[in-house]
Amino acid sequence: MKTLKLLTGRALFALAVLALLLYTIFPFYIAVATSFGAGTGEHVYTPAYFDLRNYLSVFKEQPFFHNILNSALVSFATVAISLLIAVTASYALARVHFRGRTLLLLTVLGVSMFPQVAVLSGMFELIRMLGLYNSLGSLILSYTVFSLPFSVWILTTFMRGIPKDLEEAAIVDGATPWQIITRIFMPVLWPALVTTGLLAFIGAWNEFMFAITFILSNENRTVPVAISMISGDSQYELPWGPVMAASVVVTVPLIALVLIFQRKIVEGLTAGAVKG
Amino acid sequence: MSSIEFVKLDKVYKGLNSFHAVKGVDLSINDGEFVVFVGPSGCGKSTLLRMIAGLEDISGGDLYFGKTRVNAMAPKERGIGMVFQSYALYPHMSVYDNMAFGLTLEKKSSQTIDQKVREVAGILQLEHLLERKPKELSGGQRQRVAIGRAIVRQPNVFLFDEPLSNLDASLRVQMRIEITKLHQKLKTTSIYVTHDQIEAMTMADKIVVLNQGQIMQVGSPLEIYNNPANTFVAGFMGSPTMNFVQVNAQGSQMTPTPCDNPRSFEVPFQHQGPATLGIRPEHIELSPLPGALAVECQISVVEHLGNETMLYLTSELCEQPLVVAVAGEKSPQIGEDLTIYLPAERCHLFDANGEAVTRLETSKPN
Repeated sequence: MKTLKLLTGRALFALAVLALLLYTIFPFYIAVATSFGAGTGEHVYTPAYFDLRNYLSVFKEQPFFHNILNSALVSFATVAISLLIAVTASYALARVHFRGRTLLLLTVLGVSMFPQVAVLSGMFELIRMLGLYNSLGSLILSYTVFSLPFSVWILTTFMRGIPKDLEEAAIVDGATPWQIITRIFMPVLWPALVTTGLLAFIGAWNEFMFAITFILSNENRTVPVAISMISGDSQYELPWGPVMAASVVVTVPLIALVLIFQRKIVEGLTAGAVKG
Repeated sequence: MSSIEFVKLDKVYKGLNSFHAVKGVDLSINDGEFVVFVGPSGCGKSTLLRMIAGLEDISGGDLYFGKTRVNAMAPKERGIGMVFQSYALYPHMSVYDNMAFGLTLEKKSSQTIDQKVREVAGILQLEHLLERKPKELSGGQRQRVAIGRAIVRQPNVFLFDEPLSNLDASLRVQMRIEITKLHQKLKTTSIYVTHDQIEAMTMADKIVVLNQGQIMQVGSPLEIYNNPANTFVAGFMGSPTMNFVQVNAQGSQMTPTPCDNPRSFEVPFQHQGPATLGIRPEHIELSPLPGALAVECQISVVEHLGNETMLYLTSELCEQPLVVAVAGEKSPQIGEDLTIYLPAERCHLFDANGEAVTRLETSKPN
């Protein structure tokens, strides 16, 4: 009786795991299968043949390599700028006592509640005023604006978790605030920096709405927009094969990044919870 | 090396509930002295230490290192080394880098740094640990690294903020001795904050007892123990704490006030009016002594500590139990009747405000 109960329990658990796996992996499976084994206008469950035709066509028919470079440039610049600002801002918010600190933090949080659409027209005006329209600078600026509130919040929380003694030990050792940030806090916060940086990177890499609004010319486009612009032989046809091939190409770097830093992400999400 | 002079030092935390943490502290610390600040939590001892370090602003008064007024100086300009309760080692740096950090910031040549770090590592027996990270060290080793980091820059003043309270009991005793030895070797002015009176008694040249932001008494450990200046010091220093009996004084005749059938006895003090008589548990005798006050008691609690035994006694002398320390071999039973003897020359007398009354010179020496 007892063993029967145990077996049913295990079977049910296995079933649940299987269902979960199926529904999380299925879309990706379709994408990969289609990219290797379908022509235009169809997508497939099992590839009828296996070739790289779709991959070649992606790079042949549009400046896709250029688009990837654009995306990489925009994403890395966004990460670098927002981390620099977020680290210095969170040092002030977590460590320096000043009037209105809580209000400022709440404002930062409040700003991040706005959907992109709400600020799109305002952002467009700003970009035009700065003369950044149709340049990658427009995207770096807008992505930084959108990733900052989140980064500042995360880093402020982590920075608060650093014992005050550590900072004071550095002060007694003669460190300036900048030296405290760069030589003590940043190494200690490394997992948190990786986590926030990666999230900012993914956000910038996948962003679509600003990218399609602020960029006009083909060679300045970033990857998500470029993929949406891939067209078939007629306007009634969706070129699933090339679209999926392009999607796979741009997802691979993200997966690689996440795998490389995965241990750090987990550390980052739990750091501060346990005493070092 | 430097002496330190406090002149009417004040610290007020401003805010909705402004808090006066340090109230007009005057104190002078001689060059090379080992001074211990001791007091209960919230007495301002850590605040005072942090004011010396420059980690807290000074709200009022002056602080001098030697002849220099340091109120407005940054911590690094004051030439201090500090050891924190939590060690506060830089977790991402090796032991070597932890100790070298301050010197690196001073832009010393790597040769000088290496020489100094290895010298200090030798003193503290850390040579074999130099490449390790703090997380790979035990508590005692971490504490030694923290001390090494403080002494490697050869500061004028060492500050210790409850450095041993995170260690277990046996290690604490060992580190206590090591710090004392180190001080004898380096002869640097040191200020040590603790709430542990044993640390205070064993390590200090001079003890400063603090309460509610004010100095209660300054003196050598034995002065503090033998001649407490007030009931606070008398009750705080010594374990178990001193027994207090409310009395009414008429000259040198004391009458315990809560007694049903009052009888007076003589002590070597001159005072009039209500007062508090104090006697330490270890000074109460179980065998008759000439000139000692005999008190009939009943044992209510027995605590065996091994080397000695604490008896908590109920008597008509006072409402709270009298504590007596007796030799560990004795094993009295709860409920037993007992006569104890309070030697008059071991008594302390405090006036109605809790200030000590000066002892009269008696023919019998202590």
